[in-house]
Amino acid sequence: MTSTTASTTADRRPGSSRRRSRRGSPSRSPWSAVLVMVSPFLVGLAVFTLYPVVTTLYYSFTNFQLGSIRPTEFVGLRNYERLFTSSDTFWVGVRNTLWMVLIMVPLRTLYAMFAAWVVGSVRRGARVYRTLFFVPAIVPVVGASLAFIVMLSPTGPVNALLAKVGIEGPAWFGDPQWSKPSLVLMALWACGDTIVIFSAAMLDVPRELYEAADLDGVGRWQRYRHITLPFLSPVILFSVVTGMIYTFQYFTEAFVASGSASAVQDSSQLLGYPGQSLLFYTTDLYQQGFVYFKTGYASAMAWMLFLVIFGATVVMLRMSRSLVHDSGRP
Amino acid sequence: MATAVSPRLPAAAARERDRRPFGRRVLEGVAEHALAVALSAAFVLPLLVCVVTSVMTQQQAGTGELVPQPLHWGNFREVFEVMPFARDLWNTLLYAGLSAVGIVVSSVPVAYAVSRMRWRGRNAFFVVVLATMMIPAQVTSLPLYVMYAHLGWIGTLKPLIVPAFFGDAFSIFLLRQFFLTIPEETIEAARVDGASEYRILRQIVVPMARPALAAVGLFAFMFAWNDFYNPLLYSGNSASGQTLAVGLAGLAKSAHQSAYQLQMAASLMFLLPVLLLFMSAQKVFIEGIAMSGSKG
Amino acid sequence: MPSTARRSTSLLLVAASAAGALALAACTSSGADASGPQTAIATTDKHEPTTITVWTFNHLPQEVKAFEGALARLHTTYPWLTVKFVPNKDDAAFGKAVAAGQAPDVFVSPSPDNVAKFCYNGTVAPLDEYLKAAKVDVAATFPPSALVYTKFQDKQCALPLLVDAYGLFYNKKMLADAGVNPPKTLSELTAAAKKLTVKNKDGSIKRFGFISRSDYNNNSALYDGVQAGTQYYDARGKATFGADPRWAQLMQWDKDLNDWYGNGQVSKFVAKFQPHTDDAKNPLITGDVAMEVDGEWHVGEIADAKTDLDYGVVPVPVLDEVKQTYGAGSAVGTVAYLPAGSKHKQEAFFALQQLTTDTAFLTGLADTVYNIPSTFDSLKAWDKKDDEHWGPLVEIFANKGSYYKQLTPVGSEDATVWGTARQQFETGHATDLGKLLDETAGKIDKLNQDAVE
Repeated sequence: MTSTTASTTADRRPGSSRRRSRRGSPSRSPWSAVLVMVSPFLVGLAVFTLYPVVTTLYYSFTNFQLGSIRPTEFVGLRNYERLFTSSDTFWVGVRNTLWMVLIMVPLRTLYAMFAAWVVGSVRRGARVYRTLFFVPAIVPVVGASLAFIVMLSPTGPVNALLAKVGIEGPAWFGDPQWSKPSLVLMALWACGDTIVIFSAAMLDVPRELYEAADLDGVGRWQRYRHITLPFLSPVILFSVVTGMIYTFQYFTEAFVASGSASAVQDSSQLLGYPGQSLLFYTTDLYQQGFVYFKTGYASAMAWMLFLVIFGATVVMLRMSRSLVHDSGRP
Repeated sequence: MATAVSPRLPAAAARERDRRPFGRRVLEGVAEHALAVALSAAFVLPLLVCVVTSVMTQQQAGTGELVPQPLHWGNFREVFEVMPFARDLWNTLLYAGLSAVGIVVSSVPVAYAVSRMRWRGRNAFFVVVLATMMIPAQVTSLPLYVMYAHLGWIGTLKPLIVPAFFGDAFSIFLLRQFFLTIPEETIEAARVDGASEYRILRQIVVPMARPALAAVGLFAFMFAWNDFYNPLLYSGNSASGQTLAVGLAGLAKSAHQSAYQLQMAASLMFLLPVLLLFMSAQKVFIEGIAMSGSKG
Repeated sequence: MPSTARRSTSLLLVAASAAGALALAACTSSGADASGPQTAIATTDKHEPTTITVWTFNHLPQEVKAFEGALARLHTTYPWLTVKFVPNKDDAAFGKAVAAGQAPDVFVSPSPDNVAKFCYNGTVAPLDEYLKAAKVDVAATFPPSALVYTKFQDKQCALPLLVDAYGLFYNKKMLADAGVNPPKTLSELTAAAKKLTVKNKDGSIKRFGFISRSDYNNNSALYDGVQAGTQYYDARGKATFGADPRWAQLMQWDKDLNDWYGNGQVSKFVAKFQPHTDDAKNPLITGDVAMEVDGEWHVGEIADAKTDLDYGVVPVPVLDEVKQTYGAGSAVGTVAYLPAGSKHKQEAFFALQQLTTDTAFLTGLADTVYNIPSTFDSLKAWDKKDDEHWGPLVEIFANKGSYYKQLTPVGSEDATVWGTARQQFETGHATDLGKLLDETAGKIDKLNQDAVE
């Protein structure tokens, strides 16, 4: 790469940029330089993104089974038909994933907003709190999942604490009703990155606005509602969109939690335990593709996921234009 | 109107607050901190459980007690016997270190091109970069598995490291945010002096963007450290490719399933390097995250 | 570096053509010669030094040592053969390795669920030619119930390596105190369970008689069909869940007992004890349950826990309608495959043959991993068969009525669908049992149809 760049530099040295800049209008960078800069990414885009996305589409019309010696044939839309009509797991995965998108994402955003507000409202020690709130966000997900499994085990510390105040705690990860809420708790716990983003956005609110509000004798909630919140709206959108994308790909937490709760050593066959309560779209996809090796079928699942994420993001961004307050920041 | 009614200045208000009785100040201090302390407890509890469980005996772990009795430090040693911790740690370090280097090296030029170079189609290109962030690994992993299998890369760290050298959308986005804050005059002056784009990038932009590079490298390192899906799929099947995340998940569903104390000891050792990294570069980290949330 | 250049070229080549990738995948996974060998390696042969890789499943440390010890002895006896031993692999890991063209030379799987699938897909090599060349008479070597789950369409696709039997483990003192005899039918089991259940003052349950919930511990053995005298599939290969009323009776029995405790009580029990089914906190050992269904390895686990638990083992009760079959149970076991992708098939088969037929190895391993030996010879030589706890389990395995569910190219998916249906009914998410069973049969039929499409 270095040598290519050097020759490019030599080519364009004779005064070309000088001449253009003299015109005073923004000059265009030479194509050769642009290409050198972006070519690694373009190659990566082609090999690690475009090629697999297109190939996945192609696989999805076949009965391809990775590792099988049987010949691969075109089956038309059969895999898609299977998804929607005869699959035992597809709709379960969709339902569970949507549950997380609708419950976990908003709760996590609200909780992070709340925590950021708490950090912002203490006058002394904010730094210490900020660090404490943030540290869980850097705990690797596998470790965090294991810690929550221990903490929320039916005989574990949380249920022991609850028992002290006379509450009989649930079985958490062992109970289909409580397994997803347990994962939500974990997501709330690890929301430090979002807290930081909210905290930063709160600092961007011009002080004069608050001072003016103080002069008006405006209450705390009114102040938050009419001054702070509009400034936070872009960040709320950011948090919801990234949270949504993350939740569509939700995998590790569910994989570890159901694997550990199910006591069966070959737990790849029990992804989703207890019941099918932790069977998410991606865990099902992994199972179909890399446990059952139904590559064609899993490819159809992958493409549906691609379309949904694409569609959802476009819709969210469209909606955001009307919802998000434009604070006039760059 | 309202201004005329309450002419108090902030300084005057502060003076008034100081005049309030001591008892009330303490009460207010408690009220102010009560919420923050309660929240801190909620954030700290899981970590506390992890720490205390890691020094419990098999008998005591998982019983709901929070005071280890007796202290059983041997768990940390035993982790090395029940799983190849040292080997997995080395693999994880390789993956995280090399992919961080790759992501920084390959993303900087792209970020420069989409922020400080002018070319037709630049915005469209940037949208494409952002769009790749949305594509989940699950969508691309089936053909990639076939491809890596053909290359003989399955079971090695290559499928995790090599793609890092071809640019990473999130890092490009983050670097672009930062590059945009560099004054236009600085760059334009260099152009007028006839400096090549490559030289501007290397001698002006990169030195000025050190904190951003550090943040991007740090994030890449943390991502790899944390990554489970990719190692599980591409490298976790073999001794030379298994990382700590996969090894730890294996520990939880192996015959040591209920050995909570070992799982917690291993988790702590898994967390420690990134915790130290975070502590030593907290500022870079927090600023980087705050930057990722600000809109371009 | 030239190799890097070559790799990136091939990378681009792969990227260039989607259809090409499919062909490449086929190349990666096949490469197996379909025909068997003409001759086998004799134990007296001199042979080129060869290293083969043997994968096995999850083990405790002492089990790893036992395997390694046996493989080291193999090397001492046949110095040309070196075995690289890799534990902690499951069927999914094996599938991934095969798909990547990195199959081991021998794979020992904890369950036979994928025998038919691997065989049908050509993932593993049929052993008939190898067995013939090595003059191994399968029928004279392995008990018939161990052959049921290692064959597919008359092809011997795997060999049994230790076998499992499931029995009813019960706390002798508790049953004696309650004046209950070990039950032989499911209705007797319910009656005994109710009698043995002890409640707290607040109505919660202090001790359970018997937990029937199908996802708990090894209870799935109750629902494989043997205990109800039925099979997954009829003679035409159609799922029988809707057609055979015994499935419904079995499910109703399960639900009635579950509801008698209260689903919430059972759920709490399962969540609490599920992670501890194999260790000292197992509820039979702690006294939280009076009876449980478990595999023969539980005898070893109870011994390891060093408790004073006085327990007995009897066959698992059967549906009242088929009480003449009492004594039979789910008979299953560990299987050893010869992967089609092995590059040393002859040598790998030689090792496979030694591992699956050598009496000293089988009895020694059985003692360590707490399983039952899997050949006629090793069963005869094994000293544990007269043991108070092992004896009944060996008999259950040897019972003529014992079998495992039929295996089809769909692998373990049919069992997963059936398991999901059971849980839906047990937890009250599905209430119309007839409809649920019909749908289950339909789904399983569809899966089977798709698998051979």
